[in-house]
Amino acid sequence: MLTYERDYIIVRTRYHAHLVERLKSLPVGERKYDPARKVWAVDAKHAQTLIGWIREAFGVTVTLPSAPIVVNAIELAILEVRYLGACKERAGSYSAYGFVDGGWNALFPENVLRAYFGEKARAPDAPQDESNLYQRLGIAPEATIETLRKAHRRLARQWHPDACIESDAKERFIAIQLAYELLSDSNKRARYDAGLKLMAQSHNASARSVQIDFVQVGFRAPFRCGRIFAEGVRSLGQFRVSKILDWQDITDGAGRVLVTSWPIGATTFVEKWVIL
Amino acid sequence: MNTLQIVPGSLADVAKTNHQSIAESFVSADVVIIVDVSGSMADKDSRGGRSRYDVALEELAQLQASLPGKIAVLAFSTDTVFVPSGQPPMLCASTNLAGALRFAKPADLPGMRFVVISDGEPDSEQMALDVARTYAARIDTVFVGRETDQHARDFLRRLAEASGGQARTAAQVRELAAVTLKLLE
Repeated sequence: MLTYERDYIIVRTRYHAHLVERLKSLPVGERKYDPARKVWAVDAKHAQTLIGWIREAFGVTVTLPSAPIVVNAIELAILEVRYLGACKERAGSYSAYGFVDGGWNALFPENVLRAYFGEKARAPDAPQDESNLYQRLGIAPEATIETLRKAHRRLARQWHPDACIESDAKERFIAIQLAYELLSDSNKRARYDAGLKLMAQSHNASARSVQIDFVQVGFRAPFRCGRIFAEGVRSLGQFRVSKILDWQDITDGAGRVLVTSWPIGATTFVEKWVIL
Repeated sequence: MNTLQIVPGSLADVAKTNHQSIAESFVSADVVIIVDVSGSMADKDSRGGRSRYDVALEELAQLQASLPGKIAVLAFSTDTVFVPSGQPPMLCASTNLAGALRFAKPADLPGMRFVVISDGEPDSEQMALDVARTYAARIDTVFVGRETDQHARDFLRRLAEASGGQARTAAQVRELAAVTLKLLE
């Protein structure tokens, strides 16, 4: 009934409604139904739980062969992410799902997203990305003016209220413009950097004896979609990203750029192609 | 006084009104006030027998209301803190002025002015003077101790001179706001 396949367990039983219900209660990234083979694939860490559930459903105690040693190789992949959600707590850490190849098949841990968007210098009082202008534009504080211009152009296109119909598109668009206006003026940027520095120094002084653990809640990347070149591990049909190497706009042959948004109350996201 | 109070005209107040972050509101500030909140500021020899610190809070509030969004307040004792709310905490320890000047150094940018408000002698006069000499901007000083304390007054005068600034006195913190405003004219 239970066998290992790579790093997960294949559950092969006759249909049992209660067992299926139990399997579905596991986190989405840790179980998957394979309709072709009519089996469930489950993360190996749930082995003992599975044995219990099978005993409960069928009254038999199954044993597992000893676990194979599987080294999950890190792969490089180009993921065409049509929509990237917000980071939520999943099995003890924060991550966001990306819609790739017709399903929510890519998982982006929050720290991976933050690392790509240059959040190393984040002030401890700003766990959200909105207040810091660099974070708002998804660039590092040491970014050059050219990087700043490029980031602004891409974001303005993604959040322009004519193309983007996310509920906060207009506010985001204005906020992006304001951030660019300030940071593209070298004098204002120097003052702004000094303000950030003073804030950070104050926190260092007051937090000297207290280890502040950053609260990670609902981080969202500044882009909702993109052609992402990433390192990661494939498991259970899901690509778990461990490092983002590059993030480009999704373009088509006609030189148009994809903008995706999720309107309030909608059950899925909406795609719109805009002219460069 | 409520420690969470936001002083009208302070950077935090302006940031709140404009839906900005503190760092954004700092862009429009052009004066950094570095105020001493070491132990001696607790002396009750100011207006109406109140402490220098209590009176300083009132005077600083008045200053910020006169120049809304223009003043960034730093408070120092052993450590230094940036106080966007405009109401410095009483830290009641030593007088590490050199540390405070080093803390404020990132703001030493074109068009920025600095005012040190202190009632006493720093832990190390030489270190404070050395840091002050690294400033491109001018540092003005306002002495808020007893007028008879000649040594402390002299030191603040030398500190101002080190960066081409001016030295003033607002004895026992009385008239601190008026003296500082005059200095900034």
